[in-house]
Amino acid sequence: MVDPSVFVLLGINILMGWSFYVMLMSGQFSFGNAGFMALGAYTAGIATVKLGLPYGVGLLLAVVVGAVAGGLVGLPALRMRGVYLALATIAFAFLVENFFVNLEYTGAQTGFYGLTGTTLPGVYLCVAVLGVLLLRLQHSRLAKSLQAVREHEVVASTLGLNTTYLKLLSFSLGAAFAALAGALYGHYTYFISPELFGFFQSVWPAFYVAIGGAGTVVGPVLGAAIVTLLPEYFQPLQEWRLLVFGLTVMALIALRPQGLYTPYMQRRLGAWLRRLQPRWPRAAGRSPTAVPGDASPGAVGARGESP
Amino acid sequence: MIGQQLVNALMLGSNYALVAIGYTLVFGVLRLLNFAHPNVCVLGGFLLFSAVGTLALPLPAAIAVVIVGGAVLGLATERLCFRPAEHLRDELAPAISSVAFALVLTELVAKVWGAEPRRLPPLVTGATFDLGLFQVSSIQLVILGLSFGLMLGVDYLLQHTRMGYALRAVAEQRDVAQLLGVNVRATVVWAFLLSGVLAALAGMLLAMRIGLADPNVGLSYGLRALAVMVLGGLGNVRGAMVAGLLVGLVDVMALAFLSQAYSSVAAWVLLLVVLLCKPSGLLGTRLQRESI
Repeated sequence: MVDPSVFVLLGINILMGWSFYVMLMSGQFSFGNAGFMALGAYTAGIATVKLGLPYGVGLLLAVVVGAVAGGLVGLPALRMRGVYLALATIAFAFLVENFFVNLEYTGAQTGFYGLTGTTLPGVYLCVAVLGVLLLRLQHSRLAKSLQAVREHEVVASTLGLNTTYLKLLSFSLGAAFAALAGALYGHYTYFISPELFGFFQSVWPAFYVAIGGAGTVVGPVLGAAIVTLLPEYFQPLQEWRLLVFGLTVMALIALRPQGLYTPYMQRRLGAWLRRLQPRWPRAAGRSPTAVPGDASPGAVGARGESP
Repeated sequence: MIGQQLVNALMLGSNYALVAIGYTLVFGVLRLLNFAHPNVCVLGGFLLFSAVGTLALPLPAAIAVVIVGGAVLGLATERLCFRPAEHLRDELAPAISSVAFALVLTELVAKVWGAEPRRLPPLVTGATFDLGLFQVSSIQLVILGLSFGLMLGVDYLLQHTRMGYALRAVAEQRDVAQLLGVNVRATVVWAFLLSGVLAALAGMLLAMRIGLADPNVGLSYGLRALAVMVLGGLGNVRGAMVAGLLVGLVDVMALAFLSQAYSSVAAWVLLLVVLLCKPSGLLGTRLQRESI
C-alpha cells in the first residue's frame, strides 16, 4: 500500500516539473530549481514561523520572492544559452544552499523547525489551479512566442518579439512555480534543512519533463507520477529498487526519447474526443476549423515530434 | 608552506583537469553533457581498490584494469544513453538518460563495494624528498607524473593523430566534417572511449592521492569538473587543462587561507564571475562563442 504522503510529494513534484517545463518553453535549461525551491521554503517558513503570518500569506510571499529571484538570476542568464545557463543555474543553487547553511537565523545546518499547514487537498488545489492556467496558456499567443524564442532567437526578434522580456518572463514564472513547490513542501514536512535542496532536487524536475515529454502540460505530470510512484511500487525489490528504477528510466528514454506524451498524441486525442461528441458546445463565433487543438503540424514546435 | 600548498594545488588541479577533459571531449563532438562521467571516475577508484587490494595485482596491471573498465563504461554510456536519442537532436533526453545511468552506477558501486570509503593498501613505498621549500613523497611524484603525462598525451593525440584531427573537425563543424569524409559516428564513439578512460584514470589518481576509494566524491568532483570545463571554454581541451589547474589553485588557497565553507564556494564564484565577464570561457575561441 502506498503511503498518502507520497501523493503530497507527487503534487509538489508536479509543480517542480512544471517549473522546469515553463523555463524550457523559451528554451532555457535550469538545473538550479532547487535553489528557487529553497528560497520559497525558507521565505514561507520565516513568514509563518518567525513572523507569525498566516499560511496563505507565507505561500504568496514565497511566490513573489521566487519570481523576483528568478528575474534577478534570469537577467545575467540572458547572455547564456544551453550548457552555460545550466551551469550558471547549478552554481546559483549551490550558492543558495550554502547561504542557508551559513544563515544562523534559520538554524543553519541543523535545520528549521515548526512549519505546518500543507494538506493533501491544498496541494492539489494549487496543482489544479496552475494546471488550468498552463493549459489555457498552451495555445496562446504567449506560448507561441516563447516557442519561437526557443526555436531561433534571432528569427523571433526579427518577427518583432521582445525576446528579453519573454525569456525573463518564462524564467521568472518557472522560478515562482519552484518557490511555491518549496513553500508547500516545507510546510508539509515540518522541518527543512539546506541539504534537502541539493543538486538532485534540481535534476529530478528535468527527469519528469524528459520522461513525460517536454511538449505538453500533461507530459511533466506523467513524468512526475512515474518517477515518484515507481520506486514505491518497487518496494518488494528492497535495496535493488533504485538500481531497477535507474534502468527503467534509461529504458523509457531509450524507447521514447521524445517523451511518453507528445503534442502529436495530444492532437490525436483531442480529435478523437471531438469525434466522440460531435455536438460539443463551442464558444460563439469560433469556427470548428479554429479549434486550438487542430494546429497544423507545420506550426512552430513541430520539432521533436513523431508518431 | 606556500610551496607545499602549490604541490597540493597541482595535484588537485591536474585531477580536475583530467575529469574536465573527458567532459569537454564529449561535449565537443555532441554538444551534450554526460552526467554519468563523474561516476565512471568513482568506479575508477574502486577498480583500483579491487585490483590492488583484493586481487593483489602489481600497480601497472591494476592501471590496465582501470583503463579497460573506463573504456567499457565510456562505450556503454554512448550506446545506452546517447545513441537512442541521436536522431532527435534533442538535448534533454540523453542528458537525463545519463543521469539515470549515473544513478545505476552509484547503486552498483554501493552494492559491490559498500557505501563507505575503502582504504587502499600502500601502493608505492619510497622516500620523501625534501626540496627545501616543500616535500614530495614518492606517491605524489607518481601521481603528478601520471597526471601530467596523461594531459600531454591527450594533447598530442588531439593535435597530431588522425583520430585527433577527426575529433577536432567534428567538434568544429559536424556536418562539414562528415562531408569531408570523417566517420562521425566512429569519432563520437572514440570520444566516449577516451573520455571514459580519462575519467577512470582520474578517479584512480584521486584514490591514490587520498588513499581511499570514496563513493561520495562523484557529485562534488563532477560538478567541480563541469565548472572547470566551462571556465576553459566548452570543447576546448587545452582550456580545460589551464582552468583545472586554476580551480585547483583557488580551492587549495581558499582552504588554506580562508575556511572550509569558502573553499567549496570559491570555484563557483569564480565560475559565475567568468561567465558574466567572458561567457566564452577563459580561453574561449570562436567555436565557444558561437555555441553560447
